[in-house]
Amino acid sequence: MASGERDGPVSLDGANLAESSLEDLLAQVARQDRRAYRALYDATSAKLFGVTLRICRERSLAEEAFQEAFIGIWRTAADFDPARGSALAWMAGVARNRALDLLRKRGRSDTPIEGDALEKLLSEAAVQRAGQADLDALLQCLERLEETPRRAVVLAYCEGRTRDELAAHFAAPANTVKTWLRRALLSLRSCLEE
Amino acid sequence: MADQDDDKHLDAAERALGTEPREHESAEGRRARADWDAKLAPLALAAPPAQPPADMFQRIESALDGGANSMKVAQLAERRARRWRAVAMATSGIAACLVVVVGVVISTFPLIQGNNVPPGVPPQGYVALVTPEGGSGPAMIVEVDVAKGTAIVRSLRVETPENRALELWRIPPGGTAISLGLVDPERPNLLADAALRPGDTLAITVEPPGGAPGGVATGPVILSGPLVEVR
Repeated sequence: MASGERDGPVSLDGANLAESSLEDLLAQVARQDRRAYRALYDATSAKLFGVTLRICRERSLAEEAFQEAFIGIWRTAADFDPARGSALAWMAGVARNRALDLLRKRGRSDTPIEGDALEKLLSEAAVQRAGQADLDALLQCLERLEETPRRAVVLAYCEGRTRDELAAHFAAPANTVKTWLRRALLSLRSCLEE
Repeated sequence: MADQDDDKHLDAAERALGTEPREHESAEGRRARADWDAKLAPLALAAPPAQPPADMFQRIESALDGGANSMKVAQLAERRARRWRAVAMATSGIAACLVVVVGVVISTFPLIQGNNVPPGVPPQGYVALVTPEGGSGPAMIVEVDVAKGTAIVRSLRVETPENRALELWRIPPGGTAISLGLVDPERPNLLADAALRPGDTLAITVEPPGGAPGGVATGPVILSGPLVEVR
């Protein structure tokens, strides 16, 4: 901690950091660079908070999840493997997993699934698909699924719904939901590999 | 066999989805799930963006280790300490015993906010910095959580004299010194019932091993000063 060093005021070196990619910033964060961490926060916090908010639904729970996720990003930035995907996708995974953990531990599972939830979720995504090839590919593969499995996968993934919540929603046994999900995930995988 | 592989992969896929629990995930399972996380991530990122609270980054930094905040706070404390150091020396009465001096300053910045802060208590923590004369940096940093009544002593830049122990005292205004226990410069010291308040004085004395017998300070004061709130 503060052991007599005088670093001077913390400020962003706007010129340098503005040109760094998120991957570069994350690599600098792995080397404990606080300014890069701030730049990363500025660039991604709205997107990542949106991810946790959609899962957690309650704002204070989402804030807690987001805070923990971003701290996790500081601590585990060295785990990011650029060969596996983009920095933003990795960060979204950290945020979403943290949100899911908190939701399972403390969230309320009695918030109903809304009738038009699937349509809303898919149209939010569709709005952005033109600019993003990977999102477009994923949406195309989802569109190839039948309605019910697609609905189950999207509600589980985007809203963090459990098998039991989905079973109640579809008025089907949990095992049936499991089968739908697994078949859908297999199709998605082969579709994405095309 | 293809079936077993598929099952394992689908378990991982459902863990990524969130419909299978993750508690007992193996390292290999984690890697398999990470593959699925990557495949599905564009859908997560398609969530509508939302603004976190304006002080969120500050909360994050505070939680990490104080970091940049404690640097700024240390600089602020230096300026304050210089100003009333003279006052402390003149009025303290233990000035003659001080080996190093003097400015104990409370600074507020938000610590992680728990869920159960009682109404009326500001949901913030305090940091007390003990700055020695000469200004080479704080000799002691104390993070105070008013809501929990706890304090953590970090960064104690003094050496424990051989065969001696360092004891921390809290002296309320007009009151007698209350021991907060022994402190070890080598690691953060958590004080469970510190109940520190602005207006208190913090002091460190050198005591026999095990601390002052009878709970009354016997040794010289090596760090001391009143707590002053910094805005």
